[in-house]
Amino acid sequence: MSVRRVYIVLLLIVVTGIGWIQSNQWLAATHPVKLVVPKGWPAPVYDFKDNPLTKEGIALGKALFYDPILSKDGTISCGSCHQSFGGFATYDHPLSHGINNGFSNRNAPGIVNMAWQKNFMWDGGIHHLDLQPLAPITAENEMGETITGVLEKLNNNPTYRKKFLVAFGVRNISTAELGKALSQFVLTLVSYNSKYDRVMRGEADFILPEKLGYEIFTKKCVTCHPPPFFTDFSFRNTGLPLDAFLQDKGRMRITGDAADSLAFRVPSLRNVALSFPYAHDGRMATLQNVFEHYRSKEPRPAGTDPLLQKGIPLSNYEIGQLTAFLQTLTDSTLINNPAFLPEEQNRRQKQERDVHGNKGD
Amino acid sequence: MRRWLIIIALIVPTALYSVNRYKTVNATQGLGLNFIPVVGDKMFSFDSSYINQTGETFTITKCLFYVSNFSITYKTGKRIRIPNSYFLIDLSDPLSCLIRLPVPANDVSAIDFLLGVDSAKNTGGIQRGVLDPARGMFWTWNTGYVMAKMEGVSSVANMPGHKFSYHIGGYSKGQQVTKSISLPVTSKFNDEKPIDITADLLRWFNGPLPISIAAHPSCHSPGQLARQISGNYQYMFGIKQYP
Repeated sequence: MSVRRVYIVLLLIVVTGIGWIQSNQWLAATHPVKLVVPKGWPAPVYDFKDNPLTKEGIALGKALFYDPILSKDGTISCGSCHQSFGGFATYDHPLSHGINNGFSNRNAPGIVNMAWQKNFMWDGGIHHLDLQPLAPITAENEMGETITGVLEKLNNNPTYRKKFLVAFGVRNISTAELGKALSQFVLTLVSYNSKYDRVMRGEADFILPEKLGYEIFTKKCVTCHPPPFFTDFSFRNTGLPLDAFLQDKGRMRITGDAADSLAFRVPSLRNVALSFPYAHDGRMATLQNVFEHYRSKEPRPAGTDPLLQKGIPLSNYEIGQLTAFLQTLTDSTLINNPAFLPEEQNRRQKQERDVHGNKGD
Repeated sequence: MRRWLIIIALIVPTALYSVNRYKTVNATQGLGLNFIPVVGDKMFSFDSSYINQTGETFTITKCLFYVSNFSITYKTGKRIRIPNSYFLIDLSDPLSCLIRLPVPANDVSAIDFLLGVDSAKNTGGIQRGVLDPARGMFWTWNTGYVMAKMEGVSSVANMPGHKFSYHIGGYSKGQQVTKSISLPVTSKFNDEKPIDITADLLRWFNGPLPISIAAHPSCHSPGQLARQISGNYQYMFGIKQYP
């Protein structure tokens, strides 16, 4: 054997050895994704430096989002209460359902445009999107799990281990990767293609009731629900009395300040036609109930937000127009986008198409 | 010749791999600090019951706290800050009570640290290691760390199983419970051995505003009571003096 051959063999072994050492990094080759920032919107508040979006991370986040593995008994997923057809809020349920036939204390809000939100929940108690999923996962009346319980299940699941290795380069899944993965998917839920948006971009026109409703909206609602998010993200007491059973005092639970009693987040109105029932505990079944609450001439309880103390005068006519306008905030391109629907649903829909002899698209 | 080359070829990648993995400092180097739970002038034991200033008898089943942001001062006047020094002391786990700081161990004149976790780590998303929320020292519904936790049993605690529990947290304005601790080191130590820091658990109850278990068997959110308890326990530390 010549010396040169020995050197070649030696070189091969070294390269293989280094390859083995570095396999972690190479396996984790990911494909970067850039978040859509619609024209005219502010910069996102989410710090993408700590969690750059990747195709693999988003896909993993979506798998987790729709997987009941996150709940203690394997029955509840994030998607159970954040349903695409409800604008990623709960469709037609006042309170979220949890494990063991339980109810949570609040109505699940729509989770679109989260990249622009600083704190989360109806009371703003959570400061970072990555941390948000830990609350429903560990709440006894929601998913009822422990963080260690979820991590153990994921770490014992070969499919998830592989996906986390590819997306985040980790062999041992920790809370940080779980939160980041779920954030990646949720961050992609950007709602900016409703009829309202298309009208503003000059791609469509309001019909008359929508146009009139928009004018009423800009006079009477826009202070708390400014576009493009249709919320100013503040916490306000709209004068709804305390529910004796839930005893939910909203923002006060977080700040400990009596001035924040019964103040809840101003909800976004995007996809509002789909996200009924309304208010933090879903006590109002329809938009009509909401309008009736705001236009009521009954005296408001002490602590009601100054803007609402005298109510908002609304005629029946105006309510009709406002309803027409609010329906233009429904983003059908978002709620029907296969990228955001459970994979199983996408497969099923494809099969259904095949029944009629179509080969799919 | 050939055999040697093959052996070298096998050793090189293995050595590279080992170097990659074992970059951490040798566990016996640096300044060692050993947290020792005591009650008054006696060693603490999970088996014993104790009496607080209010006259209530209790046993402790669990006690954990975060210490962070260490800064060591030397007799020369030199001061070394140790960024990213976070430790979770679990008094039921002696291994967690002995910590090592990557600084010289001789001629220490003072030890400064934060009892709790600074606000940057409270607001910066999900942390790793001892700050991982999976460690159970974190509130998921109201973002923030439980800086210190004590659980126990007392017949006067009007709670299920007569259990009392104090989960102390809060970092925002008006709810702040983190405490800056400064311990001067005076006596002569054997530099080889860790410095013993005593943690007097009675101090949780006894202090400027004594805590009665009967009146306050539980504290599970930031606020007035949490501040009161942290106002007491900030005085629990001392450097163990040897004759």
